[in-house]
Amino acid sequence: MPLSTTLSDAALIERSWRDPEDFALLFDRHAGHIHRYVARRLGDDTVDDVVSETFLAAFRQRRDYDTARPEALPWLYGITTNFIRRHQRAELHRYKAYSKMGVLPDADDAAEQALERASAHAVRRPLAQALASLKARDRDVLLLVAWADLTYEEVADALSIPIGTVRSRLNRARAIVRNALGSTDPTMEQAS
Amino acid sequence: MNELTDLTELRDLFADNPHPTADRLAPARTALLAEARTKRRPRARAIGLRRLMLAGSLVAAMTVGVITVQTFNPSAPASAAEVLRLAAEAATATPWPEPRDDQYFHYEWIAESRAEKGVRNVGPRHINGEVWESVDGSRPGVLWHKPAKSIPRGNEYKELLTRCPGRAYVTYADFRGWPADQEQLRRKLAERGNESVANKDAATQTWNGVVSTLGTPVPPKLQAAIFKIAATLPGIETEELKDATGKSGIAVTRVDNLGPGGSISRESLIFDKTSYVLLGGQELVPGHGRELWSITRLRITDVLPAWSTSLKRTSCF
Repeated sequence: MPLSTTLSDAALIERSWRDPEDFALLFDRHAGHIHRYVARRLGDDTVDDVVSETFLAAFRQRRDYDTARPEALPWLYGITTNFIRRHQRAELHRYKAYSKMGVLPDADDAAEQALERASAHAVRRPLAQALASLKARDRDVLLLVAWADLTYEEVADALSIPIGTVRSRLNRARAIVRNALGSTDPTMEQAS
Repeated sequence: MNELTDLTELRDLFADNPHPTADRLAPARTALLAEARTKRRPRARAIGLRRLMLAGSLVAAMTVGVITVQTFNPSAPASAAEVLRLAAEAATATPWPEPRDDQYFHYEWIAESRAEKGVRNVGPRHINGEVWESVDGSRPGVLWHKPAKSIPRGNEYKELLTRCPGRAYVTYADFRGWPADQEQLRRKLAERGNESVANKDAATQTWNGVVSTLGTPVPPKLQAAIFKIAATLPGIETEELKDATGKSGIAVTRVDNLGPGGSISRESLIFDKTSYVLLGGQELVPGHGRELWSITRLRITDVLPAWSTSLKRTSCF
């Protein structure tokens, strides 16, 4: 039997159909990335629950995984995006708080807060404000590209939308972000 | 501002979030594993446990108590078939405290996977557990998962193990009814091996059936018969290997092409050099990595540990 350490994500998921506990190896590979992404969007209080829900949902859907796709990370980001939407109010509160105060509401260390406030770049506050003002579906696309480092095609896979829709949502979101940053040309599109 | 500045600025926003530690992720991983355990098929258990074997060449120190190993005169076997013949001989020659159906096997098991340098690594997986397993499967068992020595801050939990309704798990008591006829037994092993490695040649299926079956407690006569069948398979060879506890033994290895992309895979059963008791096993894919497992401290006991009555976690298998 092939070693678990050498399998692609797709092969590992396929093996988990027979040996369900092998799905934990997928967790070992990707939970750190998902955790960090969710923490950036929702903060420290919610992230653990969302990561747990993400992998439990992925495990339950593992037989639906398209094994022609060797990398499972986009699929996991798609699932976690659905859970993040359930906490949209908390996410918006986080961005708005930062845009006003220059510090995140879940930053619990006073010294760190002071440092962060002092170093909060003039650009970051309007950026956070722009994120808060985006439509949820546009924000999902933008942050999957900017924070999760997914390609346009991977975002399309993650969200089950056409790649053209990824482009249009991204353009719309970036126009708003550029506007917040004082851009003079918000319509430029990054080559895919 | 050029057209990429917005993305660059955005990538820097809240980017100082640290990568989570294993401790931080542990509760989510535990929840996932707990769910996975409720879905596992018969025998599709954790590495090591799946292949765990009850060595037949054992002597009971008492009816209920620690089982000790009878020592045979060492003589370097010339071939893998000879090692397996000696293992079969030891299994049938040694008195065995036939457990009652209402008793439990109690043992410790260690398993780990290691990737070789340069190979993408999911992180070494260590399992260090203590198990109580009902002889006839009619009673819940207990799993005490302990942190491995190499991961002192790893996760620890205890849980009751019950049989999932409708699943045909083969227990020690069931093995008593397996065929004594060698050809019928060979077919049975091949069927079992085909479940894990489908569409392979008969010898490969049989070898996988051997490894899979020896991963659960097996009556000594059946174990001896299985060793004799394994001895007839093409492609087996001997080598010296260490088991997961670091103990050196003599291994019977079968080479096949079940590695990634059809590469070479070497799956071994490791025996004590002196007694020919099965110590554990290893699978090695050269250039990629290996998985190791071992069992120790096998006992038969009448009862579960007293603390098990307060366990709230339950999984079926």
